[in-house]
Amino acid sequence: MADEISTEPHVSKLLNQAQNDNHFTKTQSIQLEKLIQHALVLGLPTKEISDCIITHSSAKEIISVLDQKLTPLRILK
Amino acid sequence: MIDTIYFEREIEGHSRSQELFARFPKAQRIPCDHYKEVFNPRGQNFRLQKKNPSLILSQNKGKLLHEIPSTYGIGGKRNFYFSHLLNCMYDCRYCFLQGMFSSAHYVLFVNYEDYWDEICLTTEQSNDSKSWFFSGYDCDSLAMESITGFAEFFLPKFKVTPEAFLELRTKSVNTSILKDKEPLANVVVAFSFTPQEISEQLEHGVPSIESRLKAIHELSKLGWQVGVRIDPVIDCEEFEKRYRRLFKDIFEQIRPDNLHSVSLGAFRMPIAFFKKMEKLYPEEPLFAGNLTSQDSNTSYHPAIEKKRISTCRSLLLEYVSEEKLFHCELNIPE
Repeated sequence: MADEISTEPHVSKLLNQAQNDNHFTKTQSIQLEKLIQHALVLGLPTKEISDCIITHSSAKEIISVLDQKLTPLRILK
Repeated sequence: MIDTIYFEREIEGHSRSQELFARFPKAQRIPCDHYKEVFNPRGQNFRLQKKNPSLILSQNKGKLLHEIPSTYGIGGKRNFYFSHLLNCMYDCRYCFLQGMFSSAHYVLFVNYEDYWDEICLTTEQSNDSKSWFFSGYDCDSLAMESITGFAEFFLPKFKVTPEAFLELRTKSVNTSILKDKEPLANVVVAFSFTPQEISEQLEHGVPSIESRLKAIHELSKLGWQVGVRIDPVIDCEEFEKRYRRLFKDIFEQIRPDNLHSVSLGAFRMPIAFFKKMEKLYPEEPLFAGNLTSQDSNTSYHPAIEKKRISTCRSLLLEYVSEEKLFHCELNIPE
Protein backbone atom coordinates (compact mmCIF):
# COMPACT_ATOMS: atom_id res chain seq x y z
CA MET A 1 0.00 0.00 0.00
CA ALA A 2 2.76 2.45 0.91
CA ASP A 3 4.42 1.85 -2.44
CA GLU A 4 1.23 2.68 -4.26
CA ILE A 5 0.97 6.10 -2.64
CA SER A 6 4.34 7.35 -3.66
CA THR A 7 3.85 11.05 -4.32
CA GLU A 8 3.71 12.13 -0.65
CA PRO A 9 7.49 12.64 -0.04
CA HIS A 10 7.86 14.62 -3.27
CA VAL A 11 4.98 16.84 -2.32
CA SER A 12 6.48 17.59 1.09
CA LYS A 13 9.89 18.29 -0.38
CA LEU A 14 8.57 20.71 -2.99
CA LEU A 15 6.23 22.35 -0.52
CA ASN A 16 9.10 22.92 1.92
CA GLN A 17 11.21 24.31 -0.87
CA ALA A 18 8.53 26.86 -1.71
CA GLN A 19 7.83 27.77 1.92
CA ASN A 20 11.50 28.26 2.73
CA ASP A 21 11.87 30.91 0.07
CA ASN A 22 8.49 32.64 0.25
CA HIS A 23 5.81 33.53 2.74
CA PHE A 24 2.66 31.49 2.33
CA THR A 25 -0.53 32.06 4.27
CA LYS A 26 -2.25 28.94 5.59
CA THR A 27 -4.75 29.01 2.71
CA GLN A 28 -1.98 29.47 0.16
CA SER A 29 -0.05 26.54 1.65
CA ILE A 30 -3.09 24.31 1.27
CA GLN A 31 -3.60 25.54 -2.30
CA LEU A 32 0.03 24.93 -3.19
CA GLU A 33 0.10 21.49 -1.60
CA LYS A 34 -2.91 20.46 -3.69
CA LEU A 35 -1.39 21.92 -6.85
CA ILE A 36 1.90 20.08 -6.30
CA GLN A 37 0.00 16.86 -5.62
CA HIS A 38 -1.97 17.31 -8.83
CA ALA A 39 1.14 18.30 -10.78
CA LEU A 40 2.83 15.05 -9.85
CA VAL A 41 -0.27 12.98 -10.55
CA LEU A 42 -0.74 14.65 -13.92
CA GLY A 43 2.84 13.97 -14.92
CA LEU A 44 4.39 17.42 -14.70
CA PRO A 45 8.12 16.76 -14.21
CA THR A 46 9.42 17.47 -10.71
CA LYS A 47 12.09 19.74 -12.19
CA GLU A 48 9.44 21.88 -13.85
CA ILE A 49 7.58 22.25 -10.56
CA SER A 50 10.82 23.05 -8.77
CA ASP A 51 11.82 25.60 -11.42
CA CYS A 52 8.44 27.25 -11.08
CA ILE A 53 8.99 27.59 -7.35
CA ILE A 54 12.52 28.98 -7.76
CA THR A 55 11.75 31.35 -10.63
CA HIS A 56 8.76 33.12 -9.17
CA SER A 57 9.07 35.44 -6.26
CA SER A 58 5.74 35.37 -4.47
CA ALA A 59 3.33 32.77 -3.21
CA LYS A 60 0.54 34.23 -5.31
CA GLU A 61 2.66 34.06 -8.44
CA ILE A 62 3.82 30.49 -7.84
CA ILE A 63 0.25 29.33 -7.32
CA SER A 64 -1.01 31.15 -10.36
CA VAL A 65 1.72 29.91 -12.71
CA LEU A 66 1.51 26.34 -11.49
CA ASP A 67 -2.25 26.39 -11.87
CA GLN A 68 -1.90 27.62 -15.45
CA LYS A 69 0.61 24.91 -16.25
CA LEU A 70 -1.80 22.27 -15.00
CA THR A 71 -4.89 23.46 -16.81
CA PRO A 72 -4.18 21.67 -20.11
CA LEU A 73 -3.17 18.52 -18.27
CA ARG A 74 -6.38 18.22 -16.27
CA ILE A 75 -8.06 15.87 -18.68
CA LEU A 76 -8.03 12.12 -18.55
CA LYS A 77 -5.83 10.47 -21.16
CA MET B 1 -13.57 -15.79 -2.54
CA ILE B 2 -14.94 -15.09 0.94
CA ASP B 3 -12.54 -15.76 3.82
CA THR B 4 -14.55 -14.23 6.62
CA ILE B 5 -18.27 -14.06 7.25
CA TYR B 6 -19.57 -11.78 9.96
CA PHE B 7 -23.18 -12.44 10.86
CA GLU B 8 -25.74 -10.91 13.13
CA ARG B 9 -26.58 -13.46 15.83
CA GLU B 10 -30.28 -12.95 15.22
CA ILE B 11 -30.06 -14.26 11.65
CA GLU B 12 -27.61 -17.08 12.18
CA GLY B 13 -30.39 -19.59 11.54
CA HIS B 14 -31.89 -17.77 8.54
CA SER B 15 -32.01 -20.01 5.48
CA ARG B 16 -29.92 -17.61 3.40
CA SER B 17 -27.29 -17.41 6.14
CA GLN B 18 -27.18 -21.18 6.36
CA GLU B 19 -26.83 -21.49 2.58
CA LEU B 20 -23.90 -19.10 2.62
CA PHE B 21 -22.22 -20.85 5.53
CA ALA B 22 -22.48 -24.06 3.53
CA ARG B 23 -21.26 -22.34 0.39
CA PHE B 24 -18.09 -21.09 2.14
CA PRO B 25 -17.36 -23.83 4.68
CA LYS B 26 -13.77 -22.68 5.21
CA ALA B 27 -14.69 -19.09 5.91
CA GLN B 28 -14.13 -17.90 9.45
CA ARG B 29 -17.49 -17.09 11.07
CA ILE B 30 -17.67 -14.16 13.44
CA PRO B 31 -20.93 -13.24 15.21
CA CYS B 32 -21.95 -9.69 15.96
CA ASP B 33 -25.04 -7.96 17.30
CA HIS B 34 -25.40 -5.47 14.47
CA TYR B 35 -23.61 -5.14 11.14
CA LYS B 36 -22.75 -1.53 11.86
CA GLU B 37 -20.32 -2.69 14.57
CA VAL B 38 -18.16 -4.05 11.78
CA PHE B 39 -19.12 -1.87 8.85
CA ASN B 40 -19.36 1.63 10.24
CA PRO B 41 -16.31 2.32 12.44
CA ARG B 42 -14.18 5.08 11.03
CA GLY B 43 -10.52 4.58 10.44
CA GLN B 44 -10.98 1.45 8.38
CA ASN B 45 -8.99 1.34 5.17
CA PHE B 46 -11.43 0.96 2.32
CA ARG B 47 -8.63 0.53 -0.18
CA LEU B 48 -6.99 -2.25 1.76
CA GLN B 49 -10.28 -4.03 2.48
CA LYS B 50 -11.18 -3.86 -1.21
CA LYS B 51 -8.39 -6.35 -1.88
CA ASN B 52 -10.17 -9.03 0.13
CA PRO B 53 -13.60 -8.01 1.37
CA SER B 54 -15.43 -9.99 4.00
CA LEU B 55 -19.12 -10.78 3.85
CA ILE B 56 -21.41 -9.38 6.53
CA LEU B 57 -24.84 -10.94 6.89
CA SER B 58 -27.50 -8.72 8.33
CA GLN B 59 -31.18 -7.98 8.22
CA ASN B 60 -32.38 -4.56 7.28
CA LYS B 61 -34.78 -3.38 9.96
CA GLY B 62 -34.75 0.22 8.80
CA LYS B 63 -36.33 1.90 5.84
CA LEU B 64 -36.27 -0.56 2.98
CA LEU B 65 -37.32 1.63 0.07
CA HIS B 66 -36.00 5.10 -0.58
CA GLU B 67 -37.66 7.62 -2.81
CA ILE B 68 -35.54 9.13 -5.51
CA PRO B 69 -36.27 12.27 -7.47
CA SER B 70 -38.21 12.00 -10.69
CA THR B 71 -35.19 13.57 -12.44
CA TYR B 72 -33.38 10.30 -11.80
CA GLY B 73 -36.08 8.18 -13.31
CA ILE B 74 -36.43 6.56 -16.69
CA GLY B 75 -39.96 7.59 -17.46
CA GLY B 76 -41.82 6.67 -14.29
CA LYS B 77 -43.25 9.17 -11.85
CA ARG B 78 -42.76 7.11 -8.72
CA ASN B 79 -39.18 5.96 -8.26
CA PHE B 80 -37.60 4.09 -5.40
CA TYR B 81 -34.31 2.41 -4.80
CA PHE B 82 -33.58 -0.45 -2.50
CA SER B 83 -30.38 -2.11 -1.45
CA HIS B 84 -30.19 -5.77 -0.62
CA LEU B 85 -26.41 -5.44 -0.79
CA LEU B 86 -23.97 -2.70 0.13
CA ASN B 87 -20.77 -2.46 -1.90
CA CYS B 88 -19.64 -3.99 -5.12
CA MET B 89 -17.11 -6.54 -6.29
CA TYR B 90 -15.88 -4.12 -8.95
CA ASP B 91 -13.55 -1.27 -8.19
CA CYS B 92 -14.51 1.72 -10.30
CA ARG B 93 -12.48 4.71 -9.33
CA TYR B 94 -15.36 7.13 -9.93
CA CYS B 95 -17.77 5.19 -7.71
CA PHE B 96 -19.31 7.14 -4.84
CA LEU B 97 -19.48 4.03 -2.65
CA GLN B 98 -15.78 4.50 -1.84
CA GLY B 99 -16.63 7.86 -0.38
CA MET B 100 -19.89 6.90 1.25
CA PHE B 101 -18.91 3.81 3.20
CA SER B 102 -16.17 3.37 5.78
CA SER B 103 -15.72 -0.25 4.80
CA ALA B 104 -15.37 -2.19 1.57
CA HIS B 105 -16.88 -5.34 3.10
CA TYR B 106 -20.05 -6.61 1.49
CA VAL B 107 -23.18 -6.27 3.60
CA LEU B 108 -25.92 -8.62 2.49
CA PHE B 109 -29.37 -8.06 3.95
CA VAL B 110 -30.93 -11.49 3.94
CA ASN B 111 -34.52 -10.47 4.63
CA TYR B 112 -35.58 -10.31 0.97
CA GLU B 113 -39.16 -11.11 1.90
CA ASP B 114 -39.43 -7.85 3.84
CA TYR B 115 -38.20 -5.90 0.83
CA TRP B 116 -40.77 -7.61 -1.33
CA ASP B 117 -43.61 -6.85 1.12
CA GLU B 118 -42.61 -3.21 1.04
CA ILE B 119 -42.44 -3.19 -2.75
CA CYS B 120 -45.96 -4.66 -2.92
CA LEU B 121 -47.29 -2.15 -0.42
CA THR B 122 -45.76 0.76 -2.27
CA THR B 123 -47.03 -0.49 -5.60
CA GLU B 124 -50.54 -0.87 -4.21
CA GLN B 125 -50.47 2.70 -2.90
CA SER B 126 -50.15 3.99 -6.42
CA ASN B 127 -53.46 4.49 -8.14
CA ASP B 128 -52.54 5.39 -11.65
CA SER B 129 -48.81 5.62 -12.17
CA LYS B 130 -46.16 2.97 -12.49
CA SER B 131 -43.79 2.39 -9.58
CA TRP B 132 -40.17 1.84 -10.45
CA PHE B 133 -37.75 0.05 -8.17
CA PHE B 134 -34.04 0.47 -8.77
CA SER B 135 -31.81 -2.18 -7.30
CA GLY B 136 -28.33 -1.29 -8.47
CA TYR B 137 -27.71 1.82 -6.46
CA ASP B 138 -25.50 0.71 -3.58
CA CYS B 139 -24.26 -2.38 -5.42
CA ASP B 140 -24.20 -4.05 -8.83
CA SER B 141 -27.52 -5.84 -9.25
CA LEU B 142 -26.15 -9.00 -10.85
CA ALA B 143 -22.42 -9.25 -10.26
CA MET B 144 -22.74 -11.25 -7.05
CA GLU B 145 -25.83 -13.25 -8.03
CA SER B 146 -24.09 -16.54 -7.30
CA ILE B 147 -23.80 -15.44 -3.66
CA THR B 148 -26.90 -13.34 -3.20
CA GLY B 149 -29.51 -15.19 -5.25
CA PHE B 150 -31.11 -11.76 -5.60
CA ALA B 151 -32.51 -12.05 -9.12
CA GLU B 152 -33.47 -15.66 -8.49
CA PHE B 153 -35.72 -14.46 -5.69
CA PHE B 154 -37.07 -11.22 -7.12
CA LEU B 155 -37.68 -12.04 -10.79
CA PRO B 156 -40.51 -14.52 -10.12
CA LYS B 157 -42.06 -11.96 -7.76
CA PHE B 158 -42.00 -9.21 -10.37
CA LYS B 159 -43.31 -11.65 -12.93
CA VAL B 160 -46.60 -11.88 -11.07
CA THR B 161 -46.68 -8.16 -10.25
CA PRO B 162 -46.69 -6.43 -13.63
CA GLU B 163 -47.56 -3.02 -12.21
CA ALA B 164 -44.22 -2.90 -10.40
CA PHE B 165 -41.15 -2.19 -12.53
CA LEU B 166 -37.62 -3.24 -11.72
CA GLU B 167 -34.33 -1.96 -13.01
CA LEU B 168 -31.37 -4.27 -12.65
CA ARG B 169 -28.28 -2.15 -13.12
CA THR B 170 -25.05 -3.94 -13.83
CA LYS B 171 -21.65 -4.16 -15.43
CA SER B 172 -21.68 -7.90 -15.02
CA VAL B 173 -21.74 -10.39 -17.84
CA ASN B 174 -23.00 -13.01 -15.46
CA THR B 175 -26.46 -12.99 -16.99
CA SER B 176 -27.24 -16.69 -17.01
CA ILE B 177 -29.98 -16.13 -14.44
CA LEU B 178 -31.80 -14.01 -17.03
CA LYS B 179 -31.07 -16.21 -20.03
CA ASP B 180 -32.67 -19.13 -18.24
CA LYS B 181 -35.88 -17.21 -17.70
CA GLU B 182 -38.63 -15.84 -19.84
CA PRO B 183 -38.16 -12.08 -20.47
CA LEU B 184 -40.34 -9.88 -18.30
CA ALA B 185 -41.94 -6.74 -19.67
CA ASN B 186 -41.60 -4.98 -16.33
CA VAL B 187 -37.88 -5.63 -15.84
CA VAL B 188 -35.14 -3.61 -17.49
CA VAL B 189 -31.58 -4.86 -17.50
CA ALA B 190 -29.43 -1.77 -17.65
CA PHE B 191 -25.74 -1.89 -18.48
CA SER B 192 -23.36 0.93 -17.62
CA PHE B 193 -20.63 1.98 -20.01
CA THR B 194 -17.74 4.35 -20.39
CA PRO B 195 -15.50 4.38 -23.49
CA GLN B 196 -12.91 1.63 -23.70
CA GLU B 197 -9.96 3.91 -22.86
CA ILE B 198 -11.71 5.21 -19.75
CA SER B 199 -12.91 1.79 -18.69
CA GLU B 200 -9.36 0.46 -18.83
CA GLN B 201 -8.13 3.28 -16.62
CA LEU B 202 -10.96 3.52 -14.13
CA GLU B 203 -13.08 0.37 -14.05
CA HIS B 204 -10.87 -2.12 -12.25
CA GLY B 205 -12.02 -5.71 -12.28
CA VAL B 206 -14.96 -4.91 -14.54
CA PRO B 207 -15.70 -7.12 -17.58
CA SER B 208 -14.44 -5.63 -20.84
CA ILE B 209 -16.66 -3.44 -22.97
CA GLU B 210 -16.62 -6.17 -25.59
CA SER B 211 -17.97 -8.79 -23.21
CA ARG B 212 -20.61 -6.41 -21.86
CA LEU B 213 -21.71 -5.67 -25.42
CA LYS B 214 -21.98 -9.38 -26.04
CA ALA B 215 -24.12 -9.76 -22.91
CA ILE B 216 -26.44 -6.91 -23.83
CA HIS B 217 -26.75 -8.27 -27.36
CA GLU B 218 -27.71 -11.73 -26.13
CA LEU B 219 -30.28 -10.43 -23.67
CA SER B 220 -31.76 -8.10 -26.24
CA LYS B 221 -31.99 -10.94 -28.73
CA LEU B 222 -33.79 -13.05 -26.14
CA GLY B 223 -36.39 -10.34 -25.73
CA TRP B 224 -35.29 -8.70 -22.48
CA GLN B 225 -35.81 -4.97 -22.27
CA VAL B 226 -32.36 -3.46 -21.98
CA GLY B 227 -31.14 -0.09 -20.84
CA VAL B 228 -27.95 1.78 -21.49
CA ARG B 229 -26.47 3.90 -18.74
CA ILE B 230 -23.83 6.45 -19.66
CA ASP B 231 -23.21 7.40 -16.10
CA PRO B 232 -20.90 8.96 -15.11
CA VAL B 233 -19.84 10.84 -18.18
CA ILE B 234 -16.09 11.26 -17.85
CA ASP B 235 -14.21 14.17 -19.38
CA CYS B 236 -11.31 12.85 -21.42
CA GLU B 237 -9.10 13.41 -24.43
CA GLU B 238 -10.75 12.73 -27.79
CA PHE B 239 -14.03 12.88 -25.95
CA GLU B 240 -16.35 13.07 -28.93
CA LYS B 241 -14.49 10.45 -30.94
CA ARG B 242 -14.47 7.97 -28.04
CA TYR B 243 -18.10 8.42 -27.06
CA ARG B 244 -19.19 8.34 -30.69
CA ARG B 245 -17.44 4.99 -31.14
CA LEU B 246 -18.88 3.65 -27.89
CA PHE B 247 -22.43 4.54 -28.88
CA LYS B 248 -21.98 3.03 -32.32
CA ASP B 249 -20.70 -0.19 -30.77
CA ILE B 250 -23.54 -0.31 -28.25
CA PHE B 251 -26.43 0.34 -30.58
CA GLU B 252 -25.20 -2.14 -33.14
CA GLN B 253 -25.85 -4.77 -30.49
CA ILE B 254 -29.35 -3.87 -29.39
CA ARG B 255 -32.59 -4.62 -31.14
CA PRO B 256 -34.35 -1.22 -31.25
CA ASP B 257 -37.62 -2.73 -30.04
CA ASN B 258 -35.93 -4.01 -26.93
CA LEU B 259 -34.14 -0.81 -26.03
CA HIS B 260 -36.05 0.52 -23.05
CA SER B 261 -34.09 3.63 -22.18
CA VAL B 262 -30.78 5.41 -22.28
CA SER B 263 -29.68 7.65 -19.45
CA LEU B 264 -26.91 10.15 -19.07
CA GLY B 265 -25.43 11.22 -15.77
CA ALA B 266 -22.68 13.63 -14.91
CA PHE B 267 -19.78 12.83 -12.59
CA ARG B 268 -21.04 14.38 -9.38
CA MET B 269 -20.96 13.57 -5.69
CA PRO B 270 -21.04 15.17 -2.23
CA ILE B 271 -17.85 17.02 -1.38
CA ALA B 272 -17.23 14.86 1.69
CA PHE B 273 -17.32 11.67 -0.41
CA PHE B 274 -14.96 13.15 -2.95
CA LYS B 275 -12.47 14.26 -0.29
CA LYS B 276 -12.43 10.76 1.14
CA MET B 277 -11.87 9.21 -2.28
CA GLU B 278 -9.06 11.65 -3.00
CA LYS B 279 -7.35 10.61 0.22
CA LEU B 280 -7.78 6.95 -0.62
CA TYR B 281 -6.28 7.34 -4.10
CA PRO B 282 -4.09 10.45 -4.16
CA GLU B 283 -2.33 9.18 -7.28
CA GLU B 284 -5.57 9.02 -9.30
CA PRO B 285 -5.57 11.43 -12.31
CA LEU B 286 -9.38 11.48 -12.37
CA PHE B 287 -9.38 13.39 -9.10
CA ALA B 288 -6.94 15.97 -10.45
CA GLY B 289 -9.33 16.77 -13.29
CA ASN B 290 -11.20 19.98 -14.02
CA LEU B 291 -13.40 19.62 -10.98
CA THR B 292 -15.01 22.13 -8.73
CA SER B 293 -16.78 21.97 -5.40
CA GLN B 294 -19.89 24.05 -4.98
CA ASP B 295 -23.36 23.69 -3.49
CA SER B 296 -22.14 20.72 -1.43
CA ASN B 297 -21.17 18.69 -4.54
CA THR B 298 -17.96 18.04 -6.43
CA SER B 299 -18.39 17.88 -10.19
CA TYR B 300 -16.75 19.02 -13.39
CA HIS B 301 -16.77 22.76 -13.92
CA PRO B 302 -20.30 23.64 -15.08
CA ALA B 303 -19.15 24.69 -18.57
CA ILE B 304 -17.34 21.37 -19.09
CA GLU B 305 -20.21 19.33 -17.68
CA LYS B 306 -22.73 21.13 -19.86
CA LYS B 307 -20.61 20.70 -22.98
CA ARG B 308 -19.90 17.01 -22.38
CA ILE B 309 -23.49 16.12 -21.58
CA SER B 310 -24.66 18.07 -24.59
CA THR B 311 -22.19 16.27 -26.86
CA CYS B 312 -23.32 12.87 -25.57
CA ARG B 313 -26.92 13.84 -25.96
CA SER B 314 -26.44 14.86 -29.59
CA LEU B 315 -24.54 11.68 -30.34
CA LEU B 316 -27.14 9.52 -28.65
CA LEU B 317 -30.00 11.13 -30.51
CA GLU B 318 -28.56 9.62 -33.67
CA TYR B 319 -29.64 6.26 -32.27
CA VAL B 320 -32.49 6.87 -29.83
CA SER B 321 -35.57 9.03 -29.72
CA GLU B 322 -35.99 11.88 -27.24
CA GLU B 323 -38.59 9.86 -25.35
CA LYS B 324 -36.09 7.16 -24.51
CA LEU B 325 -33.25 9.47 -23.55
CA PHE B 326 -33.05 10.64 -19.96
CA HIS B 327 -30.66 12.98 -18.24
CA CYS B 328 -30.39 11.74 -14.68
CA GLU B 329 -29.46 14.34 -12.16
CA LEU B 330 -29.11 12.82 -8.78
CA ASN B 331 -27.95 14.62 -5.70
CA ILE B 332 -26.78 11.89 -3.38
CA PRO B 333 -27.79 12.65 0.19
CA GLU B 334 -24.84 13.27 2.51
